[in-house]
Amino acid sequence: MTLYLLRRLTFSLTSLFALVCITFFLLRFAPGSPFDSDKAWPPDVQALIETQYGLHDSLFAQFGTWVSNLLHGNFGESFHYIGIPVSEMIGGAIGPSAILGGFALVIALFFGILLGAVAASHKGTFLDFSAMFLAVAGVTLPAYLVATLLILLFSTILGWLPPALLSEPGSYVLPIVALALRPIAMIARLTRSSMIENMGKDFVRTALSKGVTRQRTVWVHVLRNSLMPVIGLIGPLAANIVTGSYVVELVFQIPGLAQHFVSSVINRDYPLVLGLTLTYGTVLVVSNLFVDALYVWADPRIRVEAER
Amino acid sequence: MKSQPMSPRLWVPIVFLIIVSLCALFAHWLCPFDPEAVGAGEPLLGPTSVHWMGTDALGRDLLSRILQGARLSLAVGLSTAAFALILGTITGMIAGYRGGRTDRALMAFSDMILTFPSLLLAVLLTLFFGRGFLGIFMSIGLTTWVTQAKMIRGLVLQAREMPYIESARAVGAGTPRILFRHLLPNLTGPILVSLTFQIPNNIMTESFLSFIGLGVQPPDTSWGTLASEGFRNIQAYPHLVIFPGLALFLTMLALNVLGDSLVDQTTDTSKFIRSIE
Repeated sequence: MTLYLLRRLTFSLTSLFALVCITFFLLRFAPGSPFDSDKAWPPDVQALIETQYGLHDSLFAQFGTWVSNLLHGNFGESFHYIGIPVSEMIGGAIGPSAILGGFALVIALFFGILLGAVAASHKGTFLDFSAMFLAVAGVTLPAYLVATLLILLFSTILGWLPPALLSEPGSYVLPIVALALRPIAMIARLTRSSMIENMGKDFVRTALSKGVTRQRTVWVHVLRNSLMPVIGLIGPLAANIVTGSYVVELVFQIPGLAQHFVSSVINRDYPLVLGLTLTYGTVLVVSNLFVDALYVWADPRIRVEAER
Repeated sequence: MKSQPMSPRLWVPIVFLIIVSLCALFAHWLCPFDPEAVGAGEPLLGPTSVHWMGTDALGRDLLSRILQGARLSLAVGLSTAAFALILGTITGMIAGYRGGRTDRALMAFSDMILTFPSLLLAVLLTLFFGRGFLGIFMSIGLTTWVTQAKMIRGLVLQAREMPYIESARAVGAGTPRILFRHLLPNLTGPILVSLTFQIPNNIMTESFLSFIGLGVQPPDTSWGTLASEGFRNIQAYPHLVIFPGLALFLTMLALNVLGDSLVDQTTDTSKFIRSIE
């Protein structure tokens, strides 16, 4: 078990390193420079600034410097917001994104699995049809439309909840709902199709013929066997949702992490981009590791395989 | 074989999509007003009998702009899906059929792309290709073809053990012939189904990128840029976001329902393909 997880961790860390390498070089081959601005600097001043930031060294030397700084716990300073450490920028912005995303993820898992299981156990009925209509709507509604409609309904018309910012506990509700809707729909669809597939399996017939009630067969035996694809979805989903959604943070005016994913690249703020990639990659690695552990828990076959 | 009547879950989305495509194709004739005409009506009108969906901040007719925007939104969705389809199918088939080192290299590469933060990668690609149609085409096409390749590879892995492939090999057919004459026609069903999910996803990504200002640039219009323009007046004039959003939503809904109905019929996919031919 430990060995299995260790092997997975080694693999993840290797791909994390590759991810950062590729980002570094892709970014450097992109046209433009961090110190291009609307008002042109005199060439010698620009050259001096670029030398100051080490941009005239060879790419490999720069990458080496960045990695060695990183190993000393130093993410570097932002090129755009001069003098501000990248770790401080990310640390300050990740809070709101992670809180909203974490809640949304838990809610999405709970309601998604519930909705999918209800639909599957009432397959072909009106209940199934409405649950699946909700799920399709959740996948196909653009995020900006959902957010707009939520604000319109609950803030402008009903006046129950604040429309933006994170000033009071109530203001967390709408962004969390907006964030959770699409994952709920995805999870519900996956759960339903996986459960319907499993209901035709032999173990269901065995359980039923042993006298296990239909309720228990569906909600215990079938559900647990059907969770594997859902678990597989959690890794990438968690990484995406915890690092923030650009549209949701824009509409609700939340000072989260997602805005930096766009602005840092446009500003060619190299250290910040690398810091963000590393943050995203780390969240991905951690959640994938968690998922691997969940797999081992949920499926004894993997446990046997892993111990070999 | 007797053909049975098509279920409404198939023909309703198909009819809707045909109507949307026709609207996009003939937007020039259908638009009640010139989509670019500033001051076609009072600025920021709500829906009226003259301007069915109201007007934007410059007094341009929103219905006309949505019809016009459909062209780019659909064009991006279809062209990127076609790009991903061709590139993904060829590489996926080669990887799946050859196996070994080729396969491992392709899988490692696609896993790599899939671990990228997608937003960051998309922004990065627009730096290379500029903002506008090419940039958005590249940032969607280059990131989605790997999913297609992975799916095709999985199908080929199953199919290559089939007797018909073995017999083709036994009579001396070469690899290209086996791939394109024997394997590919058998993958048509799943490929068609994957398109009904790929196209709406790409349309959604386009609208998202345009919404945040990285996609097509004015004066070009897509549903995403319309929503993005409307977003500035969101509190007072929500119709500027709601109507473009609804256009996008209904199109996505039709494509998804169509895809789901196709999946339900996977065992009968070939029958379906014959019935629409």
